[in-house]
Amino acid sequence: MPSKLISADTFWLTIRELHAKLVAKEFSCEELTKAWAERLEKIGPKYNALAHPLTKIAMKRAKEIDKELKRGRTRGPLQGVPFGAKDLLSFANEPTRWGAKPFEGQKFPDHAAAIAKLDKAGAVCIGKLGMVELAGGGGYRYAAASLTGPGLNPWDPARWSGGSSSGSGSAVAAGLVPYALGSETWGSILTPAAYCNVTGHRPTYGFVSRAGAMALSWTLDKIGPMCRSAEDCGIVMQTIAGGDSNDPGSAGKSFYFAPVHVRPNAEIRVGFAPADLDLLVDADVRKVFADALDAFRQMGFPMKEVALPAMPYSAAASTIIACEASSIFEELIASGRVDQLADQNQIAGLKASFDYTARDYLKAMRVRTLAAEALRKLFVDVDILLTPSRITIASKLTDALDKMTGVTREDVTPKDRGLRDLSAAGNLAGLPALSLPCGFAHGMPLAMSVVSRPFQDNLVLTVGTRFQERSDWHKRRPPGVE
Amino acid sequence: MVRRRDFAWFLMAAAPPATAQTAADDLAAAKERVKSNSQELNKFSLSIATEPAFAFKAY
Repeated sequence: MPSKLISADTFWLTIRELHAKLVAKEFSCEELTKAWAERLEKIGPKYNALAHPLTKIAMKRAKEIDKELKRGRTRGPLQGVPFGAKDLLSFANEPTRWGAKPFEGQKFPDHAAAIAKLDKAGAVCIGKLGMVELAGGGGYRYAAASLTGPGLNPWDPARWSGGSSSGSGSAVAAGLVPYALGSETWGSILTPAAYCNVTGHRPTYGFVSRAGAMALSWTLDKIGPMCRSAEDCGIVMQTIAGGDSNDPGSAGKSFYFAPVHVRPNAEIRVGFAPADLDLLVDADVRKVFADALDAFRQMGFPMKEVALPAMPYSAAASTIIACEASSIFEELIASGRVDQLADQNQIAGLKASFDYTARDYLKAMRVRTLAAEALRKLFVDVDILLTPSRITIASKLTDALDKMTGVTREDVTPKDRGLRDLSAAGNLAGLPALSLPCGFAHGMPLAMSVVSRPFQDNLVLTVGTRFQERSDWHKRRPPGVE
Repeated sequence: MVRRRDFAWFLMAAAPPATAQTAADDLAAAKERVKSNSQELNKFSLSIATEPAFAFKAY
């Protein structure tokens, strides 16, 4: 039960709101951290969201923050606000298990760069959050592909929270952390964000340092925030983004969340593919996305139909991830310890990755060059792309994720690829994407993604903020969560 | 006389076991996916001038 000072509503506040209450001394950082940490420890396991609590360390940090606040030493809106981190990010001298049994006892001496930056900003990490084992790089069949069990969706615990940032999605959705760090190689922020009604930002590749994060695919991994709002994502991004010589993929650029510098809606051209929606079998799901597109029209964005050229985007992305993962996890696979993983399909995928040749990898990387060029051409005529983050509601826990059928119509031949390949293409090209809750079907959340050119994260986050100023989907709370 | 429920039991007992996806099946399927990805990439024509999307620099 929350203390008298901290009401049940406190757990649904944004970062700014929480920080304002701290500065106004409505409660101390210690009281706030204790309330959140207790809530995460108590309710987190119900959704398999908690990989490892950090309550003791968090309380010590909270006391230090209180002293700073007392002295008037302010560091910014993240100061004193708790957060959770996907368990692929190292937290000094605490377990970092990557969701995988073979790495159960693993610890690192230093914080991951993103966690270190948040710590420097006065944020308080209260726990490591559950994830799909090894971020799902081998290709997993079932939601249970995790040391901590399947991520359960707070909107319906018989459904999956999505992955691989499962715990980050469900913890934010259930009000167990104000925000979380997740990661995406191909879909791992946007999927749980969409399934759990959370706002998730996949930054431009190279914006946020990967130092101290488990590598799955060196050229595709991105660390990003999962929050209650686009504005919160912007606030977190401003702290975690920035150059880092310890990350060979670092772009060496800083990020400033500055909505005031983004031009009016009438000057932001939106690309979309309405024919993609016509392919969806579920009429309720189609309606949610159609309404979301209408909402953008009504906000004054000029809309234009676009289509990606046909290319083997998915084959290229799959090949690159498998080849890089096969090198990263070479010892794990060659030694046979890979057999300790939970998911048979994942084990098989990692073993089979040894069959790829150097020519396969180079071919995929050459296709990648063309994919990036195709997207550059697309962005001559538009500034952002709008597409469903996921075309279904969250799957059931028992569904085989690699055998989903009945989602798209077989009787319709589309005239072009629309934006159906954007998930693969966008990740290949390292583009920023923001998943925005946009409605519900069958009681479950759905989301649209706003995607833009590299380093246009401010544009994407600002468009998201504007959308959320006139909608309240992102504020909805899962029924049945305390 | 054979009762219907006894006959049903007999049919079930005689039926071949349901196909289970074994680890070997999964590995074979995964290897097929590797081949399939490779084939799909090979079908795509690339100009000789298209370089891979990484740039080595001798700093």
